[in-house]
Amino acid sequence: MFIQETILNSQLGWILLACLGVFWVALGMYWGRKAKNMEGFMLAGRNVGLALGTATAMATWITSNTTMLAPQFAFELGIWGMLAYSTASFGLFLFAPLARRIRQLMPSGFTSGDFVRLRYGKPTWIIFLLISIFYSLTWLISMGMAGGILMNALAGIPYQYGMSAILLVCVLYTLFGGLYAVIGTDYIQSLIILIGIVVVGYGVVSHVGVDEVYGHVSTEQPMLVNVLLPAAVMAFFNNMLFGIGEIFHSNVWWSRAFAMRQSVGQKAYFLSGFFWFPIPIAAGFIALAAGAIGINVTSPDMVGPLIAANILGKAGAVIVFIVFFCSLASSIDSLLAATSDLITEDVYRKMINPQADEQRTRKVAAGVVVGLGIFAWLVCLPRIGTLATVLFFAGPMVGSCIWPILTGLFWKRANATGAIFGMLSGSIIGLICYFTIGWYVASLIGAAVSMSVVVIVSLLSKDQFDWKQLDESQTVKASG
Amino acid sequence: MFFGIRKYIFVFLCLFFSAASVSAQSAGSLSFPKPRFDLPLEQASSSGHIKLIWAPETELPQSGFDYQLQKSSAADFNQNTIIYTGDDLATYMSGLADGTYYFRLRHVEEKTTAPASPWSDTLILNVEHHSLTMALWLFVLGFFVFGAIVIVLLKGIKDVKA
Repeated sequence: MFIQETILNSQLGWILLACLGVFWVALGMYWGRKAKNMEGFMLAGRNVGLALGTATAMATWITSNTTMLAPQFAFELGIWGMLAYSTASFGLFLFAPLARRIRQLMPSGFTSGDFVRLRYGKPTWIIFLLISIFYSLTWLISMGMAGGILMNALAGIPYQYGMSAILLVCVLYTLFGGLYAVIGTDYIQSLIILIGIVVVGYGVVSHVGVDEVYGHVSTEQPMLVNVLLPAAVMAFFNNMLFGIGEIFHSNVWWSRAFAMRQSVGQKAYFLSGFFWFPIPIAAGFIALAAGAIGINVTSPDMVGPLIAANILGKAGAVIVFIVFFCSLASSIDSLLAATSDLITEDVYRKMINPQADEQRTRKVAAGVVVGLGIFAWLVCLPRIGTLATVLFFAGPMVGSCIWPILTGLFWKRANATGAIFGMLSGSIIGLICYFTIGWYVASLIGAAVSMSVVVIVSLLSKDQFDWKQLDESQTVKASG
Repeated sequence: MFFGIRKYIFVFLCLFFSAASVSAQSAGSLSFPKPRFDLPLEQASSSGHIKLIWAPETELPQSGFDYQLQKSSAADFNQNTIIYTGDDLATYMSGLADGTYYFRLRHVEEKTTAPASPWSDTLILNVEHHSLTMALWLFVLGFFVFGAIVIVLLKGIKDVKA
């Protein structure tokens, strides 16, 4: 690669990785004992309380993207970049009332796919599944890449080995414990991440003052403090809508809405957004300090961990390593679990084998978790692009899902035609903009086009959807 | 006649030592071949950032020298800034304003930073940011879409409660 000194030596890095891996897999096996049936494995018994609910939502949304991409945003797009990234918390805020509505309408629901199938019918459901699974895979791949980049940047562990290790650990404890393990580990990970961010942030501010950082940036990187930097101005709402689209459509969040107790979901999501909001700002500030500290950045997605480890020395590098491991694991496990649920429930049980019993379904779910891990590993190996380019490729597609979901939950006149054409037109036009203008406008364009189509088609329609059709309590429960 | 010979000897000695000095300098700077950028020498950016990569000199010793990267707004490097000295093989620059930037690279002695090679070929970067008008229109569009989401959500909650 491009040579950049590591702070931890490889041996210590491997020891940390092994200890964390064994600990997390052990936790997965411990909590996995609670998963007696499919509802336990997929939805943690639908009994998650406020503390765990808040922690899991916050930890899942603090991904390696938060700790590595948010600094990249700040490093490339400046002050606006930091703020743009923090607007992803709006997805959590806005999903709060949706979580409540979802539980009201679908007390026995399992996945976001269930909602789309019942609300809009099969054709829309298939398009939605394609978008959702594609998005989940790109997110999973970006996490895998981040794991390899992180291990390499901090401890010199070769990219391929670090990436493989993090994927293997997450696959194992998700396999053993299902959503119980995912949520339980999220709680611990969220505490570690919060403490770590505070320690690192304090360390950076103590080492180099805000004035010094501002002085250096305004002289050497003047556009980063320019509120009219065009790319950043474009990225602001693009990032917000990308975050809203991710959360509104992804089964990662729907599965938690189904898993939380009915009175808990709205409060948990709101609180998680509140706790999440300042974290990208802290991570972004760290990146802006690079020049003032005198660190040479060779790759923008490494700027955050590099600076944090450089400032705090070896002990701090250990803390940083653990924090980043937690941020990765908390997201990869959620993705594996939620995507496995979606594929198992919507593709296998609804399309391929509706008569499958619980034992068979559990085996398929486990197989899907392993299959996802292997697929992600194969795609991550060549390390294509930076984190931003990989993840934001899915932006127009998820942006196009906002309005079908939103109107589907609250507007009786929303219909399948609007949903299908909204998703298709938003995705296609958004992708065109992705390639012709840049990744920082694609989600916005996708959402705007989808909104226009959904609203116009719905206004022209005379449909009046019966909300009771969404309650499948008589037929959905996984047989056993 | 004697003074004429001394004059010629004096001139000869001046020329000799000048040539020796130049030769010594070029012999020092030619002790390493000039480095080269590992990307096309004409670059463009619409967002003010670029990754500069340079090729490693695999036939040289792995230690004892560093790379030195210089930036200027003028093609002749009349006014310039050293933006990096070290053994990394890349640097990522961001936050550059509209304009043309010139970069060149050379080897320097690790401890003294004395020049140890000629300068590389010059890399030219043209930064032309996206249209601010387009950016502001997209910002307004984003605000409108976000606002519509909030309105529909609030109305939906109100209808459900009713």
